[in-house]
Amino acid sequence: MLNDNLTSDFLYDNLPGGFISYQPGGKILRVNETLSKWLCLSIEEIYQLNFRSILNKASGLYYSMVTDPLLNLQSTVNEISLTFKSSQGEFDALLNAVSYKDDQGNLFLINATVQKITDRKSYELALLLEKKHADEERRKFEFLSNTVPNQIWNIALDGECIYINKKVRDYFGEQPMSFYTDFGGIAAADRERCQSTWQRCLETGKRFEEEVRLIGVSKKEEWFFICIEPYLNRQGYIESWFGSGTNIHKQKTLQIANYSSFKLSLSSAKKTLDENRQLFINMALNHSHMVRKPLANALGLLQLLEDEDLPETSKHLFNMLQLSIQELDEMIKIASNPLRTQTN
Amino acid sequence: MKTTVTFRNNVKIMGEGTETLLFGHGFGCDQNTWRSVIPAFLKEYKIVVFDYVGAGGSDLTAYDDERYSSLDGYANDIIDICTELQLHDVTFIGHSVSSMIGVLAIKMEPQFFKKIVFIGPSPMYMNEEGYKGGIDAGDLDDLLDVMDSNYLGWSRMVAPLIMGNEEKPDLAEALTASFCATDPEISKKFARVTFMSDNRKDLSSLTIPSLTIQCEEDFLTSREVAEYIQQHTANNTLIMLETKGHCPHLSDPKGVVSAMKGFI
Repeated sequence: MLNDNLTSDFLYDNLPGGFISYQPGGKILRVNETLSKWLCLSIEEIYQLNFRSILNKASGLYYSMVTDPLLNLQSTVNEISLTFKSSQGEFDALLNAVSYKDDQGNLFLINATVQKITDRKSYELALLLEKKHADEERRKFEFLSNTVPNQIWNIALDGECIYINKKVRDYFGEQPMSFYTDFGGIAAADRERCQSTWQRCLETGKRFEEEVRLIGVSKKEEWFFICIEPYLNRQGYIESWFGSGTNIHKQKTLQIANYSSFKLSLSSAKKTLDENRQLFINMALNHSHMVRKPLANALGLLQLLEDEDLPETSKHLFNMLQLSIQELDEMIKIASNPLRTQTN
Repeated sequence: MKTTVTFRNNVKIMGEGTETLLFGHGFGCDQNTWRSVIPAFLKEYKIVVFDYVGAGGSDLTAYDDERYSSLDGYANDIIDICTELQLHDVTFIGHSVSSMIGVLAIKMEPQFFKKIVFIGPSPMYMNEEGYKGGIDAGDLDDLLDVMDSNYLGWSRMVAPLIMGNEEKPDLAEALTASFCATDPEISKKFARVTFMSDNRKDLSSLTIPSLTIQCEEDFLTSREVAEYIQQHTANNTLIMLETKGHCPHLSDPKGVVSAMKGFI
């Protein structure tokens, strides 16, 4: 049961939150004691002030530029973080406000609650510092990634592009993100191979490495070495993929040119060998005939000598001569045999 | 078919007249800031409203740090719009920082413009010896901190509105949804560019007639600043409104319409 002292005014003044009503121009119409205590001013003193003047400079600017126009266009704003001035310093608070319009649509009143959040603000400031630190680190990363001559990008697990550096944008021009996720910049001849390798990498978590031809704004195909590494978070899970593209066009074209040249040299060498071989065959054929003729004579003479009655001392020499001529005959037969195969 | 600039700057054209009024919003807002004054001009004028890149319904992907590192980048947005829409004899109405963006656009390509209206203008917001712009360097850092603090608040306020509000199905309220829907990071950059700019020397380049509409009590600018503009600009007329605040086109649209009609 309510005590008689617990009037609505008493309750209004002693609620654990600040209450304030003011006109659109900022003229303060009513304020409760809680807010009055936080501002370290009497209620009468507050009535002499403009709402913006109880905010610190930065909050006053923010209120004028953002909150005030919002209240003109919509009926409520919630949890606006502002800093109020008091005679004993400043305090941070969240402002929730409701605006009221008359029949002609003119704003005539704003009712607001002010919730002091000094302790929470300290925590929020710590978070903000962390955010600023993270923002700075991101800026440094972006600066670095735009400085290096490589194309750099970051891809989410689902294949969506998170970040591309300036080199990528310069190379491909303004393209929708789907252009990158669909391998749009890769030459048709290499695209299927890349998609297949990339799919395998996504499934296995292995690094992607390919030499591919890219087609940028110049419309010319250029060779790039593409390397995409999985980025593991502290828990050891893949969080995203970092990719880099290094232009290897000069080296690759040189390599291809060298390979062609080497192949040409090999062909030329083979041709020379074939020609030499043919020359040798022709020579061998010609010379085998020339060799066979005296050999045939020698064999004939051997046949004649065999029929002669030779002294015993000469028989030994005849046998040695016969063996040597037979060996020579055998050798010429062997040597001329493959030549015959070749000529046939 | 949407053309590049029309899409990039979310340009909207309305009205039954032939003479063009081109409205440029101020920092922290978008084209919806003009909704209370536009109806008064629809019968007699062609109205063109837009969002600077980074604000409202503009194409956020078109934001370029280098281009928008000075107010010239925003002035080029205006030139691009005039070029694409083949506008001429334009009366440009700029709120807050848009006033000086308009001056820069006229300096770049004067052939498009006939008159300019400043609402709550300032050629320089920073205080300097002999010039009281209103804020100190420390105030700007503090403002950026406040903006950071309200980053989550921004998301919470704007996101549900962007997604649609079933209780407010009408078009006017839907337009409100995108109001101030500026990307927080871009917004901070715009704030820095706005408050670090000094366009005092550019005022002397303005020769076409100009009108300054200034509120008696404006947290961001002042009568002194408005008088400075008048003293340093040829053909400038100053009208002081009794209303308070930095957005008289919202708090006192009748006063703004009356002042504008007397001028244009």
